[in-house]
Amino acid sequence: MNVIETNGLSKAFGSKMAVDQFDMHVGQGDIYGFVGRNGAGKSTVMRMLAGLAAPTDGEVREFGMQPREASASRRIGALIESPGLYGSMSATDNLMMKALALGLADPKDKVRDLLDLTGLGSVGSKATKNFSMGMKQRLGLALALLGSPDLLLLDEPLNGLDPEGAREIRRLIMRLNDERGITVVVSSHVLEQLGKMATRYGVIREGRMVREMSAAEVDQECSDFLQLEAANPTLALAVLQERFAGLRFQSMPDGAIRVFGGADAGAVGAALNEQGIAVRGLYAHRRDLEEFFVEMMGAEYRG
Amino acid sequence: MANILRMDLYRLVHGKSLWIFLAVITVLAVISAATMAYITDPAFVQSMQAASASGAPTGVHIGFSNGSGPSADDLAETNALVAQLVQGMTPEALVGNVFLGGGGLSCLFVVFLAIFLAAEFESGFSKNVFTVQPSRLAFLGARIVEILVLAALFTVMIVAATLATAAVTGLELASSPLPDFALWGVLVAVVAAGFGMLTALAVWATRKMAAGIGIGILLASGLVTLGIQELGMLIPSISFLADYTLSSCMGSLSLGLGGPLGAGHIALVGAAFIAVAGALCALVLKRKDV
Repeated sequence: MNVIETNGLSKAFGSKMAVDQFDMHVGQGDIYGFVGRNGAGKSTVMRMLAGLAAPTDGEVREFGMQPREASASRRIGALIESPGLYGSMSATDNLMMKALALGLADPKDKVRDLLDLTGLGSVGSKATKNFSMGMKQRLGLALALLGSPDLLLLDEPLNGLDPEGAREIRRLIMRLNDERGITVVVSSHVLEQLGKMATRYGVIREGRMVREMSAAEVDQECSDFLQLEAANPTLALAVLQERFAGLRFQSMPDGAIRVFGGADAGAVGAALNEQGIAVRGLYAHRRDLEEFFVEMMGAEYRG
Repeated sequence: MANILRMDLYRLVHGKSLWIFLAVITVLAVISAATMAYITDPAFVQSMQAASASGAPTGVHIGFSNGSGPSADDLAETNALVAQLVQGMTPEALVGNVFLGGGGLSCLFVVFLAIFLAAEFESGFSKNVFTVQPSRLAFLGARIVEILVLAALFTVMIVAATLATAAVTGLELASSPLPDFALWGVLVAVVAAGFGMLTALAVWATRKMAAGIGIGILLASGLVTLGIQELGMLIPSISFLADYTLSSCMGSLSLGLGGPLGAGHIALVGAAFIAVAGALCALVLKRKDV
């Protein structure tokens, strides 16, 4: 069952379409890595998912309901862009206010538990303006967790964190997903951390969903491959598909062919030579996660 | 809605701004009432009258002061005012002189409210509020209740602090029937709440504290009413509009219930401003994303 489904979701600011016919599917229990360049529309999508912004067109369904329905909004915790905190008030006060707004029973106990969970138990009475960026992000996460949500929307929760801080937040997200079964949508530019926790990905470019894929699919596409540039790419692809049935091939927009599945460069070259197809280039390549996503975010994907 | 009220009550009690503003109100009330008590003291009045009778210069004098003291005209005017104050100042007139006529209460209230309402958006905490309470109308309902309650609180504070200081300093006031006094207090709170709603509209439309404070003070200080009065002099057919502003109502209340505008008129104008500003706030909150 999908926890989130968007259908033709669009958002215009004046004449500019920030989000355009955007379709997203997040399953129960997913940690959904939401990837895109700055200005691609990630935060706008997140705000619409959180019910903070109204779509211009299309619809959002969360738990089968619209996000602004009370029974849906109470199941959603959100940390959008930055943790909204009153700087002159303490961490406990900030959490207490949201706990009261939620109408929680025993708000003090719940606030204390969340401060402990996020490692802020010893600084609960400190004014948040004196917090480091990492502490603020953890407090933002604690705010999002108030009310025991079933879905967490985290927009750039790793922003401004040092590697250690980013790792702590990542571990916390994974623990929440594992122990409490919380579905998480997390957008981040820190692809290394995202790659260690996401079970599913969505890539947004210029307000449109480029592709959704599982972590296994990403792993497969990031694996070693041979990059082949041949004089006749169409014929070369047909020859290779016939000769190496166990391998996987991908045609690139520039005419290059990528060969996945542990292909032997010598055998590939020989097969093409036998058919009289000139080989202009043939080399082994390994893509990392960053390269994979940057390529997808920056150019139309034609996999 | 009740949960939003609980949240804001917690913020008011645990935050600093409400206490700072209540302290400022108290200090201003004490200073003003004490000054009033001093200048209406018989010994002070006699000394002024003696100074007036001891050959102070008469006639119009234009020039530089040499520090020799006030003119006979000034002294005569002061004596007349003091005599008026001593004879018939009601509690409403005392509070009105100190806080209402010049827009003191209104300005303090709108500045406090602009800070309180805008801090939510400027800090980003509003994101937490609107994910919890997606209904903009419930949010608005809670805030209207708060504005009314806070306007009443500010009114009670200025009245209590002013009258307490008057009592301590021995300032004698003419008695006023309790129902009249209560009605006057309610009207002051309603008009202050009207200013509060206009300030809330400015804050929610702009999401900026500075805009809320600026627009609030512009309205609460009576500058807009002054502009309408000036315009009324040029176009006499619209001069009546000045009576339908909150500043005119507050100005009338500064004289007690016996001011130029009737209690019913003031109540209707105050309620109309609250209702219209509330409707516009609902529109703004529904249309604007967080």
